[in-house]
Amino acid sequence: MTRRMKRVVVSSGLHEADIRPPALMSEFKRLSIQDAADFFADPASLVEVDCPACDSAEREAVFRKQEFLYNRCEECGSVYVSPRPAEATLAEYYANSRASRFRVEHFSRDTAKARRYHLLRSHANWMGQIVDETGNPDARAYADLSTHSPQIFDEIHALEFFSPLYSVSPLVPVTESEAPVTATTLDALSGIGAVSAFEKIEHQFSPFDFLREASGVLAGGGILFFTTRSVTGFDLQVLWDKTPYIFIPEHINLLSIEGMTRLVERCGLELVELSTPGQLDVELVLHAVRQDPSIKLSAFVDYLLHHRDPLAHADFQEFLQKHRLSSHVRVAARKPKE
Amino acid sequence: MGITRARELVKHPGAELVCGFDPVPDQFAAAFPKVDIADSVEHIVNAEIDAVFVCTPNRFTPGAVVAALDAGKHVFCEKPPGRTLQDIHDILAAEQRNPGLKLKFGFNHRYHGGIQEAKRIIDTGRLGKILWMRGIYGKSGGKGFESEWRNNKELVGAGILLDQGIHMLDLFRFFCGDFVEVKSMVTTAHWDINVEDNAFALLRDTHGRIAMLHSSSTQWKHRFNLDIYMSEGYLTVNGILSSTRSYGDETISVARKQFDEGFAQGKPREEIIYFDVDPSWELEVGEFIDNVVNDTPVLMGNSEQAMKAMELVFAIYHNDQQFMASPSAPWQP
Repeated sequence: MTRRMKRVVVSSGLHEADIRPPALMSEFKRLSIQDAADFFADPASLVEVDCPACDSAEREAVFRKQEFLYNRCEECGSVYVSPRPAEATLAEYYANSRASRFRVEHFSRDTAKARRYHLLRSHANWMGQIVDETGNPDARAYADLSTHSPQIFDEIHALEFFSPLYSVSPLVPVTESEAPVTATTLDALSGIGAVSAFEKIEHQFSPFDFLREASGVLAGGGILFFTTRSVTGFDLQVLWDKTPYIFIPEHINLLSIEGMTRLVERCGLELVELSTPGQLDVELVLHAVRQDPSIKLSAFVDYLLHHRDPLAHADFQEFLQKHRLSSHVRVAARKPKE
Repeated sequence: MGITRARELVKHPGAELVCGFDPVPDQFAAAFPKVDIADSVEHIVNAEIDAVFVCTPNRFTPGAVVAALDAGKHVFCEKPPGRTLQDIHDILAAEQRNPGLKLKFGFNHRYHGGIQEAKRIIDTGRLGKILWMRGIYGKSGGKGFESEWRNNKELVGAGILLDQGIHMLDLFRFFCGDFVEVKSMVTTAHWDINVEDNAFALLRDTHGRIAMLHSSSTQWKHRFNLDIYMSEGYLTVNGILSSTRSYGDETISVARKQFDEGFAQGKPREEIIYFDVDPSWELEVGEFIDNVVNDTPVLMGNSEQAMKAMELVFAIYHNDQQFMASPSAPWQP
């Protein structure tokens, strides 16, 4: 790993229900599973892939979900679905599924206030700090990919980090932002100072192609920001195949920290930050165990969760963040100057 | 310290380490077996070289720096720049006699990741204006502490404030600029030494902002902590990364003040950034080499900054008349 890379610990009093209210999450998951059965029913349309992080073909099958096989890369430890729906089929799903519509019409809007406070404001500050520190001072344009929280532009605009602002193929109309944002396509952009992709990597057919294309519009010294979920995080490691919020096709790439490092390097980018500032691992495990009594925890985790108070849980969560062991990952990577 | 600097020089592609002088030559020779060892400072400053690094106990510093400058050599000088204010004035006079030569002082804390991050955030103005600062820099002391050369008044001039607290004063100036008012209490609270082991100071800058310093050698656990509170949030640099990590992890905590309705007041969303390496030595030496090779101005650690840090150190001593009347008062020629 890059020796000067940052690690970050965050505390903001975030709770799962703030950004993933149980009723909304349950409905979104139900629709996703139903839609997946409809859109990906034809086994002949599925394609085999190698590790989406390090490109290794060496793998072992580890579990199934919704009839899809999750594999663990023997090189980098990433977990991924293969065979998986073809790229065009996934695009069709995201354009036309009921789950996608539900996400836009209910999920994003109903959680907008909490997301803005807990996530978007910190995303905006984070990106501004990194660009100030290591970005290209002459490239100040910013683009967010497949925007589903247009309020990110309000936060960025208020802080005057970037201008102009672009939303590439927005999922939610940019008119829901009060900031001056232009909806556009990736191929219309170049020389951008920063590009962000929040919670996109996990459902890309090819994270490598996705990041290569995204970084292609950056100016030299420009920064690519993304967040995703890592299989090396505490909740996923503990819950594994019983993780309730992992489902097809939202999570077909669950990269390890090591795999993410390899992926960024394969894309020709320099890691500036790879942190796991997640605040919810412990809470997610607690909720999952309450919901599903069949989940068997190790003796230590069971003891920690049920015989220690919230303060101990918060301390443990901070330990996870500090040592890159939470499942929520954020990455900043710089395109080298030519 | 000289060996640390020399290691950075050896790594730098724009520099060649030609010669060294060390009162314990075997130590230097073991670290740099292919480098000549001089038999005196005079030998070095008059050699066919471009620059000299002076990393000596305070007593020898001004003499070596002045000799090197007068011999036409650029100079990198470890802090502090001597034992007294007169020492830094003598150095400045030599610098003025030799225009065109570079003189840089080793205030490496400015180059630490946490400090650099703090500076970047402050300079953006996003957390508003600085209201106040509070710096604690303390070391534990230890077995044999009393007999360490750093506590030999004749050799170093004064105690922990001049030796280590000067870094925090330099950082205060890095963030705020000039301080014009000083209130202080200085004491030798514990150790059987004739220099101070604790200094407390309140400083006011030209804009009325107050900085509070505690410099200590009775901290028992090494500690570096710099709080910078601003009108819209705060920064705290905790720990200062060293090879042994004895000052702990180096982190910066950053938060905006948060009075939003509906969210807990007094517990703002805070980010802590961890720094895994200390680039300060490399950056500082690299900058000096750039100053020399490309004739760029010395922006960090220049003679004015060194002089003002020294003036603050001695203002803190002199503000406490009880301390100045004590056996621990600074050395005087």
